[in-house]
Amino acid sequence: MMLAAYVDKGGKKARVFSAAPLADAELDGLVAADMDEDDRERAAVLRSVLATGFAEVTVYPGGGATPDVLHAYVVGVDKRPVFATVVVSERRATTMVHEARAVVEGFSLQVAQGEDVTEEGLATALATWAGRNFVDVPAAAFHVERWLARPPSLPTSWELDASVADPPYTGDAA
Amino acid sequence: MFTVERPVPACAFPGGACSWSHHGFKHFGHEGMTRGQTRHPLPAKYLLHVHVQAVETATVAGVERKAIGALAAKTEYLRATGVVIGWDDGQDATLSYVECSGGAAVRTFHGRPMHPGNRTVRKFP
Repeated sequence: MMLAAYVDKGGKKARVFSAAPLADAELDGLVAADMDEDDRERAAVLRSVLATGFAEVTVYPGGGATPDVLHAYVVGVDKRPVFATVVVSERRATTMVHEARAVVEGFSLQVAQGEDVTEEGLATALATWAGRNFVDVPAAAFHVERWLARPPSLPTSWELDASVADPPYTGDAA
Repeated sequence: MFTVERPVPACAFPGGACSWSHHGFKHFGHEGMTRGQTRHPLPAKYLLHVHVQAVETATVAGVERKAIGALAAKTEYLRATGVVIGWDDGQDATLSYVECSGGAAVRTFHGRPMHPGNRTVRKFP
Protein backbone atom coordinates (compact mmCIF):
# COMPACT_ATOMS: atom_id res chain seq x y z
CA MET A 1 0.00 0.00 0.00
CA MET A 2 1.21 3.50 -0.77
CA LEU A 3 0.09 6.56 1.16
CA ALA A 4 0.37 10.09 -0.17
CA ALA A 5 0.63 13.19 2.00
CA TYR A 6 0.48 16.70 0.59
CA VAL A 7 2.84 19.30 1.95
CA ASP A 8 2.45 22.98 1.12
CA LYS A 9 4.94 25.00 3.06
CA GLY A 10 6.89 28.13 2.30
CA GLY A 11 5.75 28.17 -1.31
CA LYS A 12 6.89 24.58 -1.84
CA LYS A 13 4.25 22.10 -2.88
CA ALA A 14 5.23 18.48 -2.57
CA ARG A 15 3.75 15.03 -2.15
CA VAL A 16 5.36 12.47 0.10
CA PHE A 17 4.67 8.82 -0.62
CA SER A 18 5.21 6.30 2.13
CA ALA A 19 4.16 2.86 3.23
CA ALA A 20 3.17 4.05 6.71
CA PRO A 21 1.74 7.35 7.94
CA LEU A 22 4.32 10.01 8.77
CA ALA A 23 4.12 12.76 11.38
CA ASP A 24 4.06 16.37 10.21
CA ALA A 25 7.58 16.92 11.50
CA GLU A 26 8.84 13.97 9.45
CA LEU A 27 7.12 15.26 6.34
CA ASP A 28 8.63 18.71 6.85
CA GLY A 29 12.09 17.22 7.31
CA LEU A 30 11.85 15.16 4.15
CA VAL A 31 10.58 18.04 2.04
CA ALA A 32 13.18 20.42 3.47
CA ALA A 33 15.94 18.01 2.42
CA ASP A 34 14.53 17.60 -1.07
CA MET A 35 16.33 20.49 -2.75
CA ASP A 36 20.09 20.48 -3.07
CA GLU A 37 22.15 23.65 -3.26
CA ASP A 38 22.51 23.43 -7.04
CA ASP A 39 18.75 23.05 -7.42
CA ARG A 40 18.14 26.62 -6.33
CA GLU A 41 20.37 27.93 -9.13
CA ARG A 42 18.79 25.53 -11.62
CA ALA A 43 15.34 26.72 -10.56
CA ALA A 44 16.19 30.24 -11.69
CA VAL A 45 17.23 28.95 -15.12
CA LEU A 46 14.09 26.84 -15.45
CA ARG A 47 11.95 29.75 -14.39
CA SER A 48 13.30 31.88 -17.23
CA VAL A 49 12.39 29.16 -19.73
CA LEU A 50 8.88 28.61 -18.38
CA ALA A 51 8.27 32.34 -18.29
CA THR A 52 8.49 32.40 -22.10
CA GLY A 53 5.28 30.37 -22.15
CA PHE A 54 6.76 27.51 -24.17
CA ALA A 55 9.11 24.71 -23.24
CA GLU A 56 10.69 22.25 -25.60
CA VAL A 57 11.49 19.04 -23.74
CA THR A 58 13.54 15.96 -24.57
CA VAL A 59 13.02 12.92 -22.39
CA TYR A 60 15.73 10.28 -21.93
CA PRO A 61 15.18 6.77 -20.60
CA GLY A 62 17.19 5.66 -17.60
CA GLY A 63 19.77 2.99 -18.15
CA GLY A 64 20.05 -0.59 -16.98
CA ALA A 65 17.22 -1.59 -14.71
CA THR A 66 15.48 1.79 -14.87
CA PRO A 67 14.37 2.34 -18.48
CA ASP A 68 11.00 3.54 -17.17
CA VAL A 69 12.68 6.31 -15.15
CA LEU A 70 12.51 9.27 -17.51
CA HIS A 71 14.92 12.21 -17.33
CA ALA A 72 13.38 15.38 -18.78
CA TYR A 73 15.47 18.29 -20.09
CA VAL A 74 14.09 21.56 -21.38
CA VAL A 75 15.89 23.62 -23.98
CA GLY A 76 17.25 26.68 -22.23
CA VAL A 77 16.99 30.24 -23.53
CA ASP A 78 20.63 29.82 -24.62
CA LYS A 79 19.63 26.55 -26.38
CA ARG A 80 21.54 24.44 -23.87
CA PRO A 81 19.74 21.53 -22.17
CA VAL A 82 18.54 22.17 -18.64
CA PHE A 83 17.57 19.23 -16.47
CA ALA A 84 14.01 19.72 -15.32
CA THR A 85 12.80 16.63 -13.52
CA VAL A 86 12.61 12.88 -13.42
CA VAL A 87 9.21 11.47 -14.36
CA VAL A 88 8.10 8.05 -13.19
CA SER A 89 4.87 6.08 -13.36
CA GLU A 90 2.76 5.20 -10.34
CA ARG A 91 4.00 1.64 -10.74
CA ARG A 92 7.62 2.75 -10.36
CA ALA A 93 6.70 5.08 -7.48
CA THR A 94 5.25 2.12 -5.61
CA THR A 95 8.50 0.22 -6.06
CA MET A 96 10.46 3.26 -4.90
CA VAL A 97 8.46 3.49 -1.68
CA HIS A 98 9.22 -0.13 -0.91
CA GLU A 99 12.92 0.55 -1.47
CA ALA A 100 13.22 3.82 0.39
CA ARG A 101 10.36 4.01 2.92
CA ALA A 102 9.47 7.50 1.79
CA VAL A 103 9.60 9.20 -1.60
CA VAL A 104 9.35 12.96 -2.02
CA GLU A 105 7.68 14.23 -5.15
CA GLY A 106 9.41 17.56 -4.92
CA PHE A 107 11.52 19.68 -7.22
CA SER A 108 13.18 16.94 -9.25
CA LEU A 109 10.62 14.15 -9.30
CA GLN A 110 7.15 13.97 -10.77
CA VAL A 111 4.89 10.94 -10.60
CA ALA A 112 2.72 10.60 -13.69
CA GLN A 113 -0.73 9.15 -13.39
CA GLY A 114 -1.13 5.56 -14.45
CA GLU A 115 0.80 2.33 -14.45
CA ASP A 116 2.87 3.44 -17.43
CA VAL A 117 3.93 6.85 -18.68
CA THR A 118 2.15 7.55 -21.96
CA GLU A 119 2.94 10.44 -24.31
CA GLU A 120 -0.11 12.29 -23.10
CA GLY A 121 0.70 11.45 -19.49
CA LEU A 122 4.20 12.80 -19.94
CA ALA A 123 3.03 16.23 -21.07
CA THR A 124 0.47 16.34 -18.28
CA ALA A 125 3.10 15.32 -15.73
CA LEU A 126 5.46 18.08 -16.84
CA ALA A 127 2.71 20.68 -16.70
CA THR A 128 1.84 19.50 -13.20
CA TRP A 129 5.49 19.62 -12.17
CA ALA A 130 5.81 23.21 -13.44
CA GLY A 131 2.60 24.31 -11.78
CA ARG A 132 3.66 22.79 -8.48
CA ASN A 133 7.19 24.22 -8.38
CA PHE A 134 6.64 27.56 -10.13
CA VAL A 135 3.30 28.59 -8.76
CA ASP A 136 3.72 32.23 -9.78
CA VAL A 137 4.63 31.49 -13.41
CA PRO A 138 1.74 31.25 -15.88
CA ALA A 139 1.25 27.79 -17.32
CA ALA A 140 3.59 27.07 -20.22
CA ALA A 141 2.92 24.86 -23.22
CA PHE A 142 5.17 21.81 -23.45
CA HIS A 143 6.40 20.17 -26.61
CA VAL A 144 7.77 16.79 -25.57
CA GLU A 145 9.95 14.43 -27.57
CA ARG A 146 11.48 11.18 -26.48
CA TRP A 147 15.15 10.72 -27.18
CA LEU A 148 15.85 7.85 -29.55
CA ALA A 149 19.18 6.18 -30.00
CA ARG A 150 20.63 6.85 -33.42
CA PRO A 151 20.70 3.77 -35.60
CA PRO A 152 24.16 2.68 -36.73
CA SER A 153 25.17 4.95 -39.59
CA LEU A 154 25.10 3.40 -43.02
CA PRO A 155 28.35 3.30 -44.97
CA THR A 156 28.65 6.23 -47.28
CA SER A 157 30.65 4.35 -49.89
CA TRP A 158 30.64 0.78 -50.96
CA GLU A 159 33.85 -1.01 -51.56
CA LEU A 160 34.14 -4.45 -53.02
CA ASP A 161 35.40 -7.03 -50.62
CA ALA A 162 38.09 -8.98 -52.43
CA SER A 163 36.92 -12.23 -50.91
CA VAL A 164 33.48 -11.94 -52.48
CA ALA A 165 34.46 -10.20 -55.71
CA ASP A 166 33.64 -11.98 -58.90
CA PRO A 167 36.60 -13.93 -60.26
CA PRO A 168 37.88 -12.71 -63.60
CA TYR A 169 36.11 -14.29 -66.54
CA THR A 170 38.22 -16.73 -68.38
CA GLY A 171 37.31 -14.92 -71.57
CA ASP A 172 38.78 -11.69 -70.18
CA ALA A 173 42.05 -13.36 -69.51
CA ALA A 174 42.37 -14.62 -73.05
CA MET B 1 33.06 -3.05 -9.56
CA PHE B 2 32.42 -1.94 -6.01
CA THR B 3 31.79 -4.29 -3.15
CA VAL B 4 29.79 -3.67 -0.02
CA GLU B 5 30.66 -5.35 3.23
CA ARG B 6 27.40 -4.48 4.93
CA PRO B 7 24.31 -4.22 2.74
CA VAL B 8 22.46 -1.88 5.10
CA PRO B 9 24.94 0.12 7.14
CA ALA B 10 24.01 2.16 10.14
CA CYS B 11 24.58 5.81 9.42
CA ALA B 12 26.98 7.56 11.74
CA PHE B 13 24.21 9.98 12.59
CA PRO B 14 23.77 9.49 16.35
CA GLY B 15 20.74 7.52 17.34
CA GLY B 16 19.06 7.42 13.97
CA ALA B 17 18.49 4.46 11.67
CA CYS B 18 19.26 5.51 8.16
CA SER B 19 18.75 3.74 4.86
CA TRP B 20 19.79 4.37 1.28
CA SER B 21 17.55 6.42 -0.99
CA HIS B 22 17.71 6.85 -4.77
CA HIS B 23 16.71 10.49 -4.18
CA GLY B 24 14.25 10.34 -7.03
CA PHE B 25 16.97 9.05 -9.42
CA LYS B 26 18.13 12.62 -9.99
CA HIS B 27 21.80 11.66 -10.16
CA PHE B 28 21.32 8.40 -12.02
CA GLY B 29 22.69 8.25 -15.54
CA HIS B 30 20.49 7.87 -18.57
CA GLU B 31 20.73 6.78 -22.16
CA GLY B 32 22.21 9.38 -24.48
CA MET B 33 23.79 11.33 -21.62
CA THR B 34 26.36 13.99 -22.50
CA ARG B 35 28.85 15.89 -20.37
CA GLY B 36 27.02 19.09 -21.22
CA GLN B 37 23.97 17.74 -19.42
CA THR B 38 25.93 17.72 -16.17
CA ARG B 39 27.26 21.27 -16.29
CA HIS B 40 26.59 23.36 -13.21
CA PRO B 41 23.92 23.98 -12.04
CA LEU B 42 22.61 20.80 -13.64
CA PRO B 43 22.88 17.71 -11.45
CA ALA B 44 25.95 15.52 -11.63
CA LYS B 45 25.17 12.10 -13.07
CA TYR B 46 26.58 8.64 -12.56
CA LEU B 47 27.82 6.70 -15.54
CA LEU B 48 25.38 4.04 -16.62
CA HIS B 49 27.43 1.04 -15.54
CA VAL B 50 27.85 2.24 -11.95
CA HIS B 51 25.92 0.47 -9.20
CA VAL B 52 24.78 3.59 -7.40
CA GLN B 53 23.52 2.00 -4.20
CA ALA B 54 26.73 0.01 -3.79
CA VAL B 55 28.94 3.06 -4.28
CA GLU B 56 26.98 5.27 -1.89
CA THR B 57 26.61 2.57 0.74
CA ALA B 58 30.34 1.94 0.65
CA THR B 59 30.94 5.65 1.17
CA VAL B 60 28.82 5.75 4.30
CA ALA B 61 30.10 2.45 5.66
CA GLY B 62 33.71 2.54 4.57
CA VAL B 63 36.66 3.23 6.79
CA GLU B 64 38.15 5.66 4.27
CA ARG B 65 35.24 8.04 4.47
CA LYS B 66 35.45 11.62 5.66
CA ALA B 67 32.41 12.93 7.48
CA ILE B 68 31.46 16.46 8.41
CA GLY B 69 28.44 18.26 9.81
CA ALA B 70 27.27 15.54 12.16
CA LEU B 71 24.32 17.64 13.22
CA ALA B 72 20.63 16.88 13.41
CA ALA B 73 20.02 18.27 9.95
CA LYS B 74 22.66 16.58 7.87
CA THR B 75 25.81 14.49 7.85
CA GLU B 76 27.98 14.51 4.74
CA TYR B 77 30.53 11.95 3.56
CA LEU B 78 33.22 11.99 0.92
CA ARG B 79 35.23 9.09 -0.45
CA ALA B 80 37.77 8.81 -3.23
CA THR B 81 36.77 5.86 -5.41
CA GLY B 82 39.89 5.86 -7.58
CA VAL B 83 37.86 5.50 -10.76
CA VAL B 84 35.55 7.67 -12.82
CA ILE B 85 32.03 7.05 -11.58
CA GLY B 86 30.24 9.90 -13.32
CA TRP B 87 30.32 13.45 -14.60
CA ASP B 88 30.09 16.57 -12.49
CA ASP B 89 30.06 19.98 -14.14
CA GLY B 90 31.01 18.21 -17.34
CA GLN B 91 34.18 16.76 -15.82
CA ASP B 92 35.21 13.31 -14.70
CA ALA B 93 34.00 12.61 -11.19
CA THR B 94 36.06 10.25 -9.08
CA LEU B 95 34.67 11.17 -5.66
CA SER B 96 31.57 9.76 -4.04
CA TYR B 97 29.69 12.36 -2.01
CA VAL B 98 26.82 11.24 0.25
CA GLU B 99 24.57 13.12 2.60
CA CYS B 100 22.33 11.70 5.31
CA SER B 101 19.31 13.82 6.09
CA GLY B 102 15.63 13.80 6.92
CA GLY B 103 13.62 13.68 10.10
CA ALA B 104 14.23 11.82 13.32
CA ALA B 105 12.27 8.72 12.35
CA VAL B 106 12.81 8.59 8.62
CA ARG B 107 16.40 9.31 7.72
CA THR B 108 17.87 8.45 4.38
CA PHE B 109 21.19 8.92 2.67
CA HIS B 110 21.78 9.66 -0.97
CA GLY B 111 24.71 10.84 -2.98
CA ARG B 112 26.20 11.95 -6.23
CA PRO B 113 29.43 11.68 -8.14
CA MET B 114 31.73 14.62 -7.49
CA HIS B 115 34.62 16.19 -9.37
CA PRO B 116 37.69 16.87 -7.18
CA GLY B 117 37.43 20.57 -8.08
CA ASN B 118 33.87 20.90 -6.80
CA ARG B 119 33.64 23.62 -4.15
CA THR B 120 31.92 21.20 -1.76
CA VAL B 121 35.16 19.24 -1.47
CA ARG B 122 36.74 22.18 0.33
CA LYS B 123 34.32 21.73 3.23
CA PHE B 124 35.91 18.43 4.15
CA PRO B 125 38.94 18.13 6.42
